[in-house]
Amino acid sequence: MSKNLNWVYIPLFLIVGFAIIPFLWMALSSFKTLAELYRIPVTILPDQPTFENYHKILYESNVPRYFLNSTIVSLGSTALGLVFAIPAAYAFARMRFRGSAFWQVCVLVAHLLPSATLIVPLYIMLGYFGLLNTLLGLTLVYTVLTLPLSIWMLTSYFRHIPVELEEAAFIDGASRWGILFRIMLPLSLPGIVVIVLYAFVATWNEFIFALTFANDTSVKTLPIGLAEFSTEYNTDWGAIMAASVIMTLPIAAIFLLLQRVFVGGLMSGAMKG
Amino acid sequence: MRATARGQGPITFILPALLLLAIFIVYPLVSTVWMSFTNDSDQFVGLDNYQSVVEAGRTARAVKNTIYFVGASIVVQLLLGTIAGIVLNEKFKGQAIARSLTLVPWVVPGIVGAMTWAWMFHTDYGVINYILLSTGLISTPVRWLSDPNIVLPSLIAVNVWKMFPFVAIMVLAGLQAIPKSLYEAAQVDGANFWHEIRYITLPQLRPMLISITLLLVIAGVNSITIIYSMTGGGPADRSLITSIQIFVEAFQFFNFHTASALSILFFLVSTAIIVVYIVADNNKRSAQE
Amino acid sequence: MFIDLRKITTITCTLLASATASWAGQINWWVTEPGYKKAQELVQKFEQANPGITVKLQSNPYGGLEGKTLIALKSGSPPDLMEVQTSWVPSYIATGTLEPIGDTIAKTTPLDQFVPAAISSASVDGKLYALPFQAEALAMIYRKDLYRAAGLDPEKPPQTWDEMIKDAQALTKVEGAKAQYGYGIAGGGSEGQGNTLYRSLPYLWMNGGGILSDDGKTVIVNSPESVKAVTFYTDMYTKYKVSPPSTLENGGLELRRLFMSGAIASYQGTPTEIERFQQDAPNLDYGVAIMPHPEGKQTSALLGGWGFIVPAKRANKDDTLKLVQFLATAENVGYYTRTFPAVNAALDLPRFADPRLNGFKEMLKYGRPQPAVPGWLEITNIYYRHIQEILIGDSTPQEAMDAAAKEITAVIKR
Repeated sequence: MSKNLNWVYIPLFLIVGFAIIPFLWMALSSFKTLAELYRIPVTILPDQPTFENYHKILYESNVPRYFLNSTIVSLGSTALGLVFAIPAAYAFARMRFRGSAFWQVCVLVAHLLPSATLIVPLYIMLGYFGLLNTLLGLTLVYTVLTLPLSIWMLTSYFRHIPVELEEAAFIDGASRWGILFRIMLPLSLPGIVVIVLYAFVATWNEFIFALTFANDTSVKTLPIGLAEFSTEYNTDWGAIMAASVIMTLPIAAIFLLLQRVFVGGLMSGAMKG
Repeated sequence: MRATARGQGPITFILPALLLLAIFIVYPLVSTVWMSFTNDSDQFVGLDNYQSVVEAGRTARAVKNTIYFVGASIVVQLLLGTIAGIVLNEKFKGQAIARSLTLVPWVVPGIVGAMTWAWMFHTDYGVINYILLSTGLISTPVRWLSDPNIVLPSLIAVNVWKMFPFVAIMVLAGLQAIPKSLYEAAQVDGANFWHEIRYITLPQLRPMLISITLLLVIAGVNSITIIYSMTGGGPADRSLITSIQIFVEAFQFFNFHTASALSILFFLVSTAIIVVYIVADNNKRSAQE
Repeated sequence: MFIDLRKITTITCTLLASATASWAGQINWWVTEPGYKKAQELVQKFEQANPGITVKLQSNPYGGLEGKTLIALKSGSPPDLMEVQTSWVPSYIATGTLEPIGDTIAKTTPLDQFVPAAISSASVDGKLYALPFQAEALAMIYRKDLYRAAGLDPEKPPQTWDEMIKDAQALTKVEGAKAQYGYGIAGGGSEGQGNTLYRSLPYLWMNGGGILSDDGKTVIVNSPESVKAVTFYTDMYTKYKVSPPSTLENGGLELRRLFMSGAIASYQGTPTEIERFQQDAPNLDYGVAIMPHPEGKQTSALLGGWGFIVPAKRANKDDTLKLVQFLATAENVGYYTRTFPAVNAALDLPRFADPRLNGFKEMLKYGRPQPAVPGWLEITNIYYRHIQEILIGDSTPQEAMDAAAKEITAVIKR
């Protein structure tokens, strides 16, 4: 690969710029007073920067509680999803059995059902099992919502791992489960990271199902909390922007940490061996 | 490789997942099919709901818009995402931060991103027109979200903004899987950067890109939040896509039965596309082995 | 085996019995976010007066509330009392899941003491299915300072349609990036079709037209009177250009922002604008007037408001009705409403004494309810979309209303 990296900076600047401009606008707005937010012509930098929006969010609202609920539900459904997805993806990727293609299609097809049609029957079902307004109920729904895609993506990752590695292990007498945990998982770690991120982000930001299934303040999640600042007669933009900043930072931080897993080595390491 | 030991058969591996999906997906699906053939008094009405859905002018327009919206979005998402993935794969200073920042659109809650863009796009108090007007690039405000010819391109831009980081991450992961030996061999042959991209990187990424395309199609046709919160499908249905039509039919007009009929049609068409894809993919795979 | 079965049955029955026991004496009350604090106060008073009954409050964001309520009603296990917009009530009635509470309310406050339109909008076949507590009508809000600057008399806002156009034209000045428009009409916005409906349908009524005839059986949206009114409304954007370029993106919220910043000199607003002005723009120099009407005819308004519904399948049958009676007093209605009370006597309460509210009180007299026809939301959506066809320039008012009439007729025939 060419070592002169200067060409990178222009496209990089454009790409990153495009990606963060709305967030910049959000962040700048979160430090403006409502009066300034309503001014025309608009201001870009805050005239009199203020922390009142953040103060409102952190001390005068239920946002911290919602933050906790979102964390529980997202972590729970992501973890649960992995438990179900990993074995299934392995079977689809490596085992040849009757109906494999059929079940794969079924899984993908499950992903396709429009959310608008799932909501009423699911509401009735959760009510029947007593799971409405519970974090458990919402976690289960989220697990189901993210499972098909997780299986599908993980299957793809497993398929990319060279078969020779497993054949070698088989010859050495390893069991399927052993192969799964000791060879497939470590090698597909970037894939697992992607799925964890995808599932976490999708559930962290989900709105419609949370709105319908989690009514009590004790179980509301962040997006619903955000919606509370948009009442019938007014939209507290300052508060919404501050809350959005707070909602976005943890995930950005998580990704910054999980970066290293992507960087080089794991795959090429296996190839050389 | 045949598994013979107990507990190692495919059933043990796939049963838990399938069971979960069966409970939470099969019942709603059956319920929707039932509702599509009945009316509010629970009487069987045959294909009436389907007929009224197919005949409605909105349906054809929504399908047309869906094809345009999803098609154009995917092309730009793939292009921008692949370029971003390749750029972010280079080891420059601040690579980690650049990657995190690029991910921001994907990470921001859909509704918040959409509301912010709607605010920035607003014809009279949006910052985009403000900048364009005050620098003299335009003389009258551009109606980004209310001009029938500009509204879909504006929404496509937002959709691209939201999803290209996902493509970039997938491409980034895919790039990790390309054996370095291929690049080393090419450099021995005197290839420069562009040759590497064209003859090694892109072909190696192809399977990944094809998978991503399918995911983008599914996400695209199912997407509701962006368009619904920015234009509601307007003005006058110029930005209406099928998924929103279903949502509006169910939760604005409470016509659950026609909404169900439209859902099933939508579901059948999407499933057909997927089946074709999986069959073609499986055929290719067995041809290779 | 046999013994096991009996034991299981006994345990199950005990559990069920205790489950039902825990329901008696507890009322599940859904309120909206803005009303939560006041609801807590009312709950305290109610519980003090009724020992043995507890009220569990749940506050819901406004977004998605209409659908959420419908889902709860259809699910078979709804809460006991729900706060809803009165315009949603007819479609809830059509689901057959609501209990008529007219007699219960009348025990506290006779129904003729309510704003008539508020009662009729929530009734079908003479039975009342909601306790209206909030009634409001929009009025014209205008900037007195901008009037003065344009040489107009701020104490004489326009009364007729012709005067309105003339004044708006005088107030419209576009100079490069700095533009001021005379009157902002609603043509879209984040809150959907309702905003445009409330701000345009009254014009049709003023002129003797409408969307449906009074009995709800004929479509009159393309009658000459209706088309003239639609033309008047849309001309403000398409012909006279006194409404800003963003018109198709503007609903109530957006118009308020434009008004506060001076980009528009007048618009049609709700009583809550006053509260918002006090908070967000306390020095705003504004006035409230009745909506201008055609020469020789009366003004009109679409009556909006909120009320409480009682699901028939609720868990707590009797205590809920006690709560309804408690809430139906003029005092409590006047306390809980966010704009104006649906009980006439409550208008005398001190909180409604501000003279600037007079324009709204006046419009309340001319308030008409939305027709309680099933499919009304779909009908108004058709109307809304065709108004937009006119505004984007793809249709003339007559063509658009003819097309709308055709589609609406199909909906009624169902």
